[in-house]
Amino acid sequence: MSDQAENDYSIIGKDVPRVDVIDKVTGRAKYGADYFAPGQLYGATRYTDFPHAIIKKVDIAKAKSLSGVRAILTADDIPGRPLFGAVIAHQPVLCKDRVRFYGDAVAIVAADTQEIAEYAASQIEIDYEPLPVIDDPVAAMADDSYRIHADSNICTHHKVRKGDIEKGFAASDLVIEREYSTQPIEHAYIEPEAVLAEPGENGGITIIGSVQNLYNIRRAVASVLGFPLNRTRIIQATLGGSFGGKDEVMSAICSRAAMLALAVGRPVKMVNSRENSMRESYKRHPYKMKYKVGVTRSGILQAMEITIIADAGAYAAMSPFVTWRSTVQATGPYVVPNVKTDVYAVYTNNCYTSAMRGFGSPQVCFATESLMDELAESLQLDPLEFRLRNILRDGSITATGQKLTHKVSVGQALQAVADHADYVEKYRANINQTSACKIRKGIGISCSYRGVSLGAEGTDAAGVVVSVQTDGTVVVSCGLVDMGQGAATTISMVVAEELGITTDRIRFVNADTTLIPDSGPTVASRTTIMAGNAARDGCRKLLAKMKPVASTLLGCSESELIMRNNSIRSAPDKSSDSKTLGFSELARICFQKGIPLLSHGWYKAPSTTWDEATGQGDAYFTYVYGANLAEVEVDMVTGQVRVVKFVSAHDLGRVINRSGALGQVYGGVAMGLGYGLLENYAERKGKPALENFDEYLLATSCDMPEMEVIFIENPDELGPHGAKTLGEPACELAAPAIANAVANATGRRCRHLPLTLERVLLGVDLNRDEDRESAKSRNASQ
Amino acid sequence: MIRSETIVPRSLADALRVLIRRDVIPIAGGTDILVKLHDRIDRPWPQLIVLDNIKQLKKIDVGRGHIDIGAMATFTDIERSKILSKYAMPLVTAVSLAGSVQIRNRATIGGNIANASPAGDTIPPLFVLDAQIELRSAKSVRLVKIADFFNGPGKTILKSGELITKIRIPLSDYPGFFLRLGTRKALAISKVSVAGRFKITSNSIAEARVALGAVAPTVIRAAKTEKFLNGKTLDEATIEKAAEIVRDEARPIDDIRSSAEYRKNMVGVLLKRGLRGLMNGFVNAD
Repeated sequence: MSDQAENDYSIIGKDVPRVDVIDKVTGRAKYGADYFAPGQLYGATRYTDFPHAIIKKVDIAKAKSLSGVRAILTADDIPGRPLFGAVIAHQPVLCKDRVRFYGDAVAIVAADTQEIAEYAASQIEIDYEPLPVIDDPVAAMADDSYRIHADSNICTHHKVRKGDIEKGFAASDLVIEREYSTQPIEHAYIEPEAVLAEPGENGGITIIGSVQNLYNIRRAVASVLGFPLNRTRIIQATLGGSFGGKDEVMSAICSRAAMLALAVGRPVKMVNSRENSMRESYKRHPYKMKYKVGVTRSGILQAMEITIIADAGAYAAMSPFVTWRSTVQATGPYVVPNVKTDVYAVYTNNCYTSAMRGFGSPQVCFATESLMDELAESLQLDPLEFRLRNILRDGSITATGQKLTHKVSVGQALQAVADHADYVEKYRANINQTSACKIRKGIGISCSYRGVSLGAEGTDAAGVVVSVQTDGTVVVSCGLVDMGQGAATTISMVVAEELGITTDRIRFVNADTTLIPDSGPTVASRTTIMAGNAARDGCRKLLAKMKPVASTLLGCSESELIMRNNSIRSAPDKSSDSKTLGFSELARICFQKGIPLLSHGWYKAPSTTWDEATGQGDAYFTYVYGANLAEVEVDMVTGQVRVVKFVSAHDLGRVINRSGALGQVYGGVAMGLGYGLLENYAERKGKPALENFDEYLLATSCDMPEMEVIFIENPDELGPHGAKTLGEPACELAAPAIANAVANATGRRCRHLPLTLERVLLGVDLNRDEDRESAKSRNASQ
Repeated sequence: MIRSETIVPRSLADALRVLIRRDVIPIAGGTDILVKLHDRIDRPWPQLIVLDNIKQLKKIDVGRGHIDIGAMATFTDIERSKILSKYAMPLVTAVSLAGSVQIRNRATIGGNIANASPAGDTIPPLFVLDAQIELRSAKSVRLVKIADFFNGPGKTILKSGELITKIRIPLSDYPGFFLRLGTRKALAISKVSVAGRFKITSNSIAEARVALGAVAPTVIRAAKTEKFLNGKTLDEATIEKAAEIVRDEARPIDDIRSSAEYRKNMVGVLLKRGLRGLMNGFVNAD
């Protein structure tokens, strides 16, 4: 889409406070748990007692006899299809004869109070025959492993075959092999899952609550109930965080609440405790990653052979798509002529895994960026120089054979963070710290490329409805949701810019499946680009109706109209012959003339291609690039790592809302720091080893470093005003930058996340001085 | 129904009278007990006796040769007390590092003791400060040494009807320290903690007190380490040897917060840091 000159913008690129900020700080915002309906009951879920077992018998008699219990439902009571899943429909809403992970549900209860419902759920008697618990994805891949589903435990296998790796290794002077691994982590949204389901007129059901992907969830609920889509209505309440987390788990909870509501003919509310939320909600995939890489003496990558095993847990959920993104991005943002990549998602009896901010990228970013530093060390190059010799540039061909036709700015981003913190100088100085030094300094960098939106995963289109009221105020609604990331503000700004009005004239309404067309899921950092383009389309359709009226009234041609700041002028400046018309007046006149000022904007992303057999194709229609830099201090005696400074550079095409963009980066770094140093959803034989935030430790504000953010703006012809993507890139690069900084400080590399005190220290105990000396001698010989 | 009734006595006598009833629990700051009750769905909650309105339990008073800290003194109260900063620095350091601002505003010293966690942050300092705790019921009052109070994790000698009413610390300005390790900077339960206090005369240790947190079922005194340190000159060789001894005295376990091996080593590291600080006249609190 064509673009105005940058300085022409009246709203785009400015600092605009979130449109929902007053609601949120005054408590006026209504989250899922804030909805009440007359006569509502409370729902509770009875989970399995074993991570893997045959259900022999479910006895609800005792629970049902309790006073205040209105309904108890099991798998036998499911009216429609008992299984859901957007990719593979095999996840039970309620388990009938088999449970496959510790968060599986067997029965649900509706009762007069939450307490009665929970107590009754605990009184349901279930007989099990325990089955072996498969908790290691590598073991699960074996042919003779116990099968978690009817077919093989391998859920997905994605490949990339490019060039000939054997030739590539033969042409290499150095070949190294490394293994990296990452841990499962929890989304840790502050608002646990909450829904209110009301049986509606016409026998339908209306569900309001904390849902991220309304349309996926609606499909699941309709299928479970045996309802058509037009009788299944999902309304998004204000979301208290999601990060990819409120999708499949909400399909299950919405379906359960709807079943209970229909069974008793009364509204039913289900609100998860934090313990139940952690127990049943899916996690980020833990990955085991093997990299074999060949490089010439002069530091040019020749070949990569990559094998990745992702633990999908008990159900497929989004695993096929998550691992697909990993497959596309597995080499990192580097030119590698010969690539062989195999990525598997494997079923186990661990908590199932699915979308989480990053969607398969944080894991491979950790591996590739650690690997680049290791290669650089081996070649006695500094890690910046080594990366710069291999990075993608304008016109480069990616691992999947895609020629990059937009501005490729990964080098620009790397250079920006490095220059900002004197990277090369500090990197060398840190290597020469004496081993007597108890607190050592480290500096590390990381960079990435990231496919924008869904790519070859599936249909990629979104809609926005823009409705100008007769007083000139505007209502905007969108099928992609604001889950805290600021989409409501961003989309409002795009509409305001287009219509020449101020954002205070706009009211953004939360999504409702009945009123807005299916826009796909709010994932893949696709909202700004997809909804932004759809909003522009909607506004242009409106302007096509409003401008002729305005030009008649102002006595000028349509091209002479200037719409800005809630008024329409006929001439460029405040010259004497300039006439003006208020936007509200124009809206009123259009209404009087019977011109409808409601439009539906739509944007469909350009096509992508993908060959499953070779993993070659134009996987995404465009990409974004970023780089991170971390400075740390490592206590060499306790293993404590303190991140003292952080620099993020991101090419996001164009900044729409500056404060919103900064918020994305700060939050992304906070999550990435937690991933790098603290978080671990530990499970033992299929059971969680923790259940709340007392043991699951996230970074707090006290752990956050000083942060600098550098925005690079290379407008992309496909983005609204050139804008692309930021939410996930902001989060995927922090952990490897920190890990590289720690290695720079200690002289020893941790290849497994998170870098806890124990891991950093007990590792350091192993030949610490030897590693230290060898690193020093390497550096001295440069 | 899981809705608890609460009783809010206005005097200590009233509180002790209702404490005799069956199935009542006194609640101080509630930062531990409310979390435990939150998970309890199978039984009704006990009645909670809210102690907030009993002013005398909040006082920090200097008596003859001792300081009395009311059991309801909050961590924030202790952190801000000038008198405790002078005479009970390890305790002041410990409360200042615990939890978050919100938790410190609610959490009380009496509650921290009653909760009897081996990782309770006020407990190692109270061990080295030779604290005694006053246990009072409607009929009796007794003063017990802090070390005699704990029987195991969450287990104490407190009898039904008894309330912790004050903590008594002898007045002495011997230098001391409290050091801890947590996974993150705030809101972290200690992986391991060490408190120490030392009477030093003419450059040698006349009397050593060392207590260890989170390395045994209860907080423990490091008796062998203390014995070794008594009479020694505080120098680098002594410090190294003391760290070695204290490592062997710790009896930690592997759990979600840390590993036994790491904890053993860190007890030594923290003791070394504390003693070096003392030697150099400065203790880094973190």
